[in-house]
Amino acid sequence: MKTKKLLSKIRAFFDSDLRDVQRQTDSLREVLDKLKKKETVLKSRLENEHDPKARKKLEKKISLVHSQRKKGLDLLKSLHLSDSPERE
Amino acid sequence: MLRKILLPTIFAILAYGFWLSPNFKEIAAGVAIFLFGMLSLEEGFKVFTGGVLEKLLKRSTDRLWKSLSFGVVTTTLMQSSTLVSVLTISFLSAGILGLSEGIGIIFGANLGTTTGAWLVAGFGLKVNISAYAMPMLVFGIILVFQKQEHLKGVGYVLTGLGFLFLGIHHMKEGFEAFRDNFDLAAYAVSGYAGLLLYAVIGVAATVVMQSSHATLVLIITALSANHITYENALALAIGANIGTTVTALVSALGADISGKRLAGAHLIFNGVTGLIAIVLISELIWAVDVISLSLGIDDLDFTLKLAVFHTLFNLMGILVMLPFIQPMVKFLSVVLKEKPGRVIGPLYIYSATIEFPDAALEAVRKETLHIFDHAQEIIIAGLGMSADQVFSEKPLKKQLQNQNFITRVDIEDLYNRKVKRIFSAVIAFISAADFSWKEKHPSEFHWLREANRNIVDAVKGTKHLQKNMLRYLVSDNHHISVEYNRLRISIAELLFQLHQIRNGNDPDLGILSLDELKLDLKEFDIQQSRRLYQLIHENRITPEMGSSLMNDSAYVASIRGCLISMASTLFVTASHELSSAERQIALDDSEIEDVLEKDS
Repeated sequence: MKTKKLLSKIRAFFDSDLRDVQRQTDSLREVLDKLKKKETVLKSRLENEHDPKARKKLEKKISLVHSQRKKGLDLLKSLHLSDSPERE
Repeated sequence: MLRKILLPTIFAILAYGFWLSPNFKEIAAGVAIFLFGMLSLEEGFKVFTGGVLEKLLKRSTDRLWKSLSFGVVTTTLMQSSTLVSVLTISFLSAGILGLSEGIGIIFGANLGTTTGAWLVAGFGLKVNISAYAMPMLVFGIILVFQKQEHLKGVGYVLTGLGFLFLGIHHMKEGFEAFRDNFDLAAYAVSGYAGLLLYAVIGVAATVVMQSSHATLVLIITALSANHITYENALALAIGANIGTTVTALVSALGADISGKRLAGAHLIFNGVTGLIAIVLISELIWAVDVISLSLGIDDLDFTLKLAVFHTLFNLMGILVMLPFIQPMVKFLSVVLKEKPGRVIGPLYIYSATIEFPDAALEAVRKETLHIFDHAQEIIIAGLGMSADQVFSEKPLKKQLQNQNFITRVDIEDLYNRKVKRIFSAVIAFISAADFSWKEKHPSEFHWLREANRNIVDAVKGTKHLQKNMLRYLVSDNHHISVEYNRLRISIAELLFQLHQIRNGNDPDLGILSLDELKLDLKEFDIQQSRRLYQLIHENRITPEMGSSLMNDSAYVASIRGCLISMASTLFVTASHELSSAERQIALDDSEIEDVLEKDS
């Protein structure tokens, strides 16, 4: 695993396009992490909420964050495909 | 008229001089090569100013001693006080730097520029520097043709140094050959008359060459060939110091008020320093002798003694002027006042900032915020509210309950006076910046341009909304009045939420959190059209009212959409990489609709 990581770092050093892709991947991961945390917090707030109006609002927020996460994960997958060594 | 005559006259004098003396031709060519070297050096350093220098400037100017040191170090390294001055003016105009810090940098740059005299007197004249120039030029030019920006930058720096050395070599050769045929020293003037005369010549030479550095090198090479006396060389150096402020004054003509104030400070500093040097010339000459003796400089090595003098009188100037920085800031702020005009113009951008990508970006961002502040004021007034009402924690609906009348404001006039000029300047600036350097920050400029457009669209939307809103808010028909009140409150509430985001009062809000506002907007839209059809269906409002409400709802949706888009650029504090990742993840209209459908 370590060798693989080292190799990808070396490849990135010589390939500026690849470096850009890796930078994008890292940023996307960071944003996705934040979104995941946000979703967890919102879900736990929903569990403790009894007011129907507030619950509805929270549910809406959760489904929004969920859609954002899904979009982000799809983007990450497509970046991984373009990052693979088989690319032309 | 004068300009039209000046250039041909200079050309004629030079051509006559070239015809008269091949040595004069060599000296003039040396100066030209030297100046070209300085241009190339500046070009090279500009490549690096996008990052290191600007970051350093942001960090190292919070204390006076730090800004002074920054001025000394950067001018020493780059051998160009002009580049440091222009950079300082750009940062000052962008609001990143205060006037007193800017003055500190300029003081430091004055001292830093004296290292040039040391380099030429101590190294340039004693070593055959043309031998270094040739390889520098060859390596430099190869690097200039490289694609990577930083290699290109190194290439320009090397080429610049090569040309500087070559220029000095030609000036030296020219003066040495000149000595055999012609004795300029015969024109030496002694006493205070000579001092003043040569100081004026120094000013004139620097104004013509636009570089005190080039004048100083010319003085040193002439002095080394005994073409001018030591005393006259000192006077020329004083004149060169004063002459350099003319270059700064000319470049400040196009600058904003802070740039003009900085140029004023530069003029005061160099003028006062020059005056003190002229008055205390004999004391300074004595001090130079003492210092030279202690440094082991030969009593007859006048070129190095000139370097000592140059450093000493600039240092003396700093020591004398340092306690007066704050009074100087106050004085300049009083003398050079911002003109309070009816039409409001840009505060942060002006053409010199284009040279430095980071400063330019920051200037455009601040200018866009400036536009937004005025636009927000217009929108709030157009909605018949006050800023206090909109940004209060109390529910807006309650606050507006007792509003009996609404004053109509002329949005078109307010837009022309408060937004239009700044907006036009920003768009012109971004277009010029686009051509200056396409590679750095292109996406940021694109988004800022969009943000500007969105702000203006929001103001125009408010103008369209205002007509019917004023009519129907006071209508006898309660239903239409409620709907229009709802519309204006929806805009005001959005402004409140954006205000919270801008001030960082909402911890987890970034570009993605603006999606929540988009979701609210979509939901509001859907509910609004449902209510509208119901009202028409139940004959509670006339069809005419219905069509107005339908059109105006579209305006409100557009205003809110514009404001949200603008906020995603303007109120984002995340790094470039993170914000572009967030932008990619942010949901578009159809994805927001999907979320709403799933939820209902």
